[in-house]
Amino acid sequence: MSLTDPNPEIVPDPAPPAAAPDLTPDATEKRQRSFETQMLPHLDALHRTAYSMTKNAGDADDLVQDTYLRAFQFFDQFQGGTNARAWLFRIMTNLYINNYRRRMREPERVSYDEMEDFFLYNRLSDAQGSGSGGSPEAEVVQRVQIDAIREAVNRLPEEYRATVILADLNEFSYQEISDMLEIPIGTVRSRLSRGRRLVQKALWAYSGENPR
Amino acid sequence: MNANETERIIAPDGSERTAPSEQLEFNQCQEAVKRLTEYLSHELRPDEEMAVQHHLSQCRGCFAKFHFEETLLRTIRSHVGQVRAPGALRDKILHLIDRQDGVTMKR
Repeated sequence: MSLTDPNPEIVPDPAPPAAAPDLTPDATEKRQRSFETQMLPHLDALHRTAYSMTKNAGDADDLVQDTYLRAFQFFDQFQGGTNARAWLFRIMTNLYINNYRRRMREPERVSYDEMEDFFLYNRLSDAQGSGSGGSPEAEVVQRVQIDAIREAVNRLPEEYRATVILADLNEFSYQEISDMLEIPIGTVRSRLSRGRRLVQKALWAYSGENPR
Repeated sequence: MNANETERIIAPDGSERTAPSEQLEFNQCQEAVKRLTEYLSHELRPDEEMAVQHHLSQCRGCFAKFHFEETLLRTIRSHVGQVRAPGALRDKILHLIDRQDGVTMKR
């Protein structure tokens, strides 16, 4: 618990907001508007991420709802002009770590030690024989399907999945990910490096199981 | 394993200031590949990023591999980026927020 406690300044546990909001109907209306304008544009990205993290449509919806609810409750603490997307992701990551991940089974350990760099590139090069100029491998990869990607990300062990989702699908910086997951930057880097290799391995396996 | 070897070539102590060109080439590739993860995330220091880019402009093998990795990442991102949240979820959230304020007001 202590390891995964949310940052209390940003996401205090169930305590009510520190500053009592102005409760006149006008102020309430304004606050709602402002919240919706700033926060709702990130719904798609949050939902995609929640879905990848929980691997389950029902849990993903719940996680996103909880995130928005929590964000709304603490909206008065949100500094206008700062990064709303990072703020929401941080809330969601905290909720995920504390509530959802706890329910899931322990990740299986994978051996990645012997995994090579450029795994997929090498497989495709082998499959195609020594290519003649151009970059045929890159063309193949542009045809990768969404199902394969989803499956590859789903197959990632827990510890790599969150990092890959945040870095590669949402383009957060290592520093931001380090803050969200409360792990050192070096760990972000190594998890991403291994996670990417595992994604490639899974994409390769998927293409073998689902030849087109 | 050959980290020492690499270091010797990068920071020669004078007595062994030149490495055989083939080996130097090999080590440059190795140095570039070591930075692949951060390169793809745009997390390298600007001078390191430039050094990698310089190497990629000189080395067809690394260029093809790095280009492949960039293409893969871009493809994944654009596919996943097209997935939208269900409309019902949006409505539910708006409703929740509305209700939330109602609750607050009654308090």
